Amino acid sequence: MSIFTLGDLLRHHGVKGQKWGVRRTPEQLGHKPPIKEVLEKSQANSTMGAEFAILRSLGAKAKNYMVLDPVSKQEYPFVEGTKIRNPTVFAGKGSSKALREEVAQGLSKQIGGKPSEWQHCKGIGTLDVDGKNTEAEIHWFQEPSVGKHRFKVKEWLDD
Amino acid sequence: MSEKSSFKVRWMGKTEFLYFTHGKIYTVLSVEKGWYRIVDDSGEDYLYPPDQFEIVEE
Repeated sequence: MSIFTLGDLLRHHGVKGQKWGVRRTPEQLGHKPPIKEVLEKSQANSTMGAEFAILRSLGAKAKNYMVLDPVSKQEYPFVEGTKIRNPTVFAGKGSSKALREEVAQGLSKQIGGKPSEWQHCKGIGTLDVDGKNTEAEIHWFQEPSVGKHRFKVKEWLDD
Repeated sequence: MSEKSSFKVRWMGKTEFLYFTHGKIYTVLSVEKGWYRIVDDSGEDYLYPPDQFEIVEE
């Protein structure tokens, strides 16, 4: 036995607020965003990132992880497989300290990315200094679309 | 381990933004583990291997 009559069904004109041809967003549908998107947003917004490895190869894929640009023929001797630990953003996007305008603009012009997205970061890495593994405070610049650049040694942490 | 003797060096490498300018003279603030502490073109002091610097004034 049906509880609906034909008249009830004909009076149904759709969902209240629904517009023909307009799809609701994943958020409106209550769907969770893809995990990749969550991770990217989390990394972009946080001032403390995950540690990352210095790549083993010195090829094109690894050149961004050299302390100095290979064009200058100066290469900081990161120990193969070393990880940059405790990476922290200390200036630029997501930090209370702004990057100097000429630095942000210059990085954007020379390397790419948006001036407002550049960050100045620091962490701890291991370098090979005269055959001895040496801990150092490392600084670099990063921007989400172009990666990490301009690695420099700020301090030796070993005596 | 740091030597506090200050001297001047010339950058013999290529000009690189936020690093150094070719031919420009910089002051070495100290030598630490054989590396030079220099205020580079970013305006901050960092440690650099001495390979591409030429000492111009002791």
